[in-house]
Amino acid sequence: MTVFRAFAPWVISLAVLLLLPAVTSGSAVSVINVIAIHIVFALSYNMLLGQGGMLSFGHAAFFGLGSYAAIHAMNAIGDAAYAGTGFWAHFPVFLLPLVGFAGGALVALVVGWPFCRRAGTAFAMITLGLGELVATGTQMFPSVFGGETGVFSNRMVGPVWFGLELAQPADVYWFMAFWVFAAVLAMWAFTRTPLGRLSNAVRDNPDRMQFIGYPPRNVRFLVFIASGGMAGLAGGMAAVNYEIVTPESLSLLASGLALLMAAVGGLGIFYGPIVGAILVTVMNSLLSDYTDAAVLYVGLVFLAVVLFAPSGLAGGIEHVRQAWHGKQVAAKAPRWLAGTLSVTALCMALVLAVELVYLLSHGTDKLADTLGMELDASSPLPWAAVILLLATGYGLWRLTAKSLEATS
Amino acid sequence: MSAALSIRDLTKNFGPAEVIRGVNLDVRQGEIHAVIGPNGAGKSTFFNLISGALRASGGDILLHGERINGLAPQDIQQRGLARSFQVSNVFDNLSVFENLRCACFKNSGAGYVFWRAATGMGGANRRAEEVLDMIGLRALRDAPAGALPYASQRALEIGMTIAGDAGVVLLDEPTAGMSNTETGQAIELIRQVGADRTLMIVEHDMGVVFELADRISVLVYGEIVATGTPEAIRNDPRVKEAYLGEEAA
Repeated sequence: MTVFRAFAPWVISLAVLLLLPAVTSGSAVSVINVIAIHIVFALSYNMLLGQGGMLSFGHAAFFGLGSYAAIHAMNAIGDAAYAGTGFWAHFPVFLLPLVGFAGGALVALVVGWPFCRRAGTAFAMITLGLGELVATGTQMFPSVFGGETGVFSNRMVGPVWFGLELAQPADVYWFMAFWVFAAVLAMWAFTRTPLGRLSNAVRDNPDRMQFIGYPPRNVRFLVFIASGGMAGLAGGMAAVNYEIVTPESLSLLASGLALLMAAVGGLGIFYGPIVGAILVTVMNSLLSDYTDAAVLYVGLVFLAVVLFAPSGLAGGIEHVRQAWHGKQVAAKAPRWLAGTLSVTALCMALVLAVELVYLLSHGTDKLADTLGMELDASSPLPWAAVILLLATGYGLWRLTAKSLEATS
Repeated sequence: MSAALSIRDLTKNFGPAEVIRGVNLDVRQGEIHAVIGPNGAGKSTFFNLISGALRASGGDILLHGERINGLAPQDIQQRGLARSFQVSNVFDNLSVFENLRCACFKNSGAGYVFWRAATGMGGANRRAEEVLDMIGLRALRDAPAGALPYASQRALEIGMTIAGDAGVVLLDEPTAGMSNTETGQAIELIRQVGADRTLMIVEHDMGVVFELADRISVLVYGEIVATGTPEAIRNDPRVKEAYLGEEAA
């Protein structure tokens, strides 16, 4: 039973990965491939923040540089395969994430030592500086980074593994499935090793570390390298997926994305960043098809999580799971239902308000059309609906808060 | 018998303020040595100097005859001197067992291992279980350390200090803030810890000191005014004047 418990999440994940292509359409596969990249990226970020207590604003530097390493290797494979000789002629594109890993880890190894002296604000500021430095540096070496346009390549070169030509996104899916599974497994295993445990210890109390025999800096540095490597691996996956790497991939914006995904999903729970990566990626890629306010909505979700659910979406999942094991679901279900209704009403009010404002300023918005709402911002009716929804949501919220006080 | 720990002319200034003013002290192998003194006497600073948390302004600290002053705390710990803290200083989000195991890793050869599971580190696991029983927290094995009751956290604090199997252990006010029953249990634990180690404790509770200590040193305004058996210290006029007299006043 316990053995089953331990393996169940992995078996289920594997089953999902195997069945996913059968139940999704062609265009969804492209989104899923991006999700795979972002899962690895967000988890690698959480090795620093959630596991090691290091708040980084420059994590995309490792993702991007790993990505560049992989794309240059891909070009090398192309050239060598054409010539038919050399080391790269025998290197499959399938293994390029390993090149990304090496790139990311190497950069972390070279720059990381001075960073890891302190966690906290000093670390945050230094990584912010690194991010900016690398982003600016890319413009100074166009031969390496390809200037504004980036570096192009072609993934259909070199030896073919597992019969994957990598021509279509559906082919790339199996490549992604393999690497996301391997990377998540590796990062999970890392948390179970002595070094993984020590990284939690240094997060909780760096001052005590010295007195159990460890300079905190050594532990941080090793975690930093591992995390940089995993970010580079995600970058390698991205290089194969897009066949182009631009300086945007190592920008501050990309670093922010890592923080966003990890925090929305939950920093304190291993699978949190996975949940966050899925949600944020889906929101980013789907919402932008329907509304101009997509970025705003992602930002609002981030704000809501930080304010009202500091342990993230995974924190909520854990809450339900514990209630399930404690057989308290029946007792808590009404409150959850009321809470969900309250949040839904508040969200609807907010979405409606945002769309109305967009209508006022832009004249039209696609989301309203898609939902079949014939909104007229000049009539008082939709505004009344906003207020009604707000009132309902707030009322339900007060109600659940009251019942929570009553029971505790 | 040789001294496990020798302090020679130790001084420490913070700017113009002299906090430790030429301390000389020998802690014998295997004894329980208590350091007492009024508030502000410099006891905590004294511990911080020995354990490497602070750097001495002058003088020498010898552990088994080897100089350890100027070394980093982790190097001093590796040479067999461990310390506990006055305020509980544990890893809040880790379980009790994990706290102990982390404290065992370095000395059981697990170092910075990232290629094997922590559960596979036989030495560290065995030692952590052993200490867990010794400090009586078996029932709270998997509770997060930050959520422990105060007295249990103090016991864990001592457990983490001895987990690395240091020969010389400094305990900083191990019974501070405890109830009578809890203090009684703590005394038992300290006695057990001291059975095969050299122990130096700073303590405010005179009952604890006179019950446990083989010898006592009295630190007043950065100087040792007397060292001796509990009996001798009790009757020492200088101690009465400097310490007990002040308490009575």
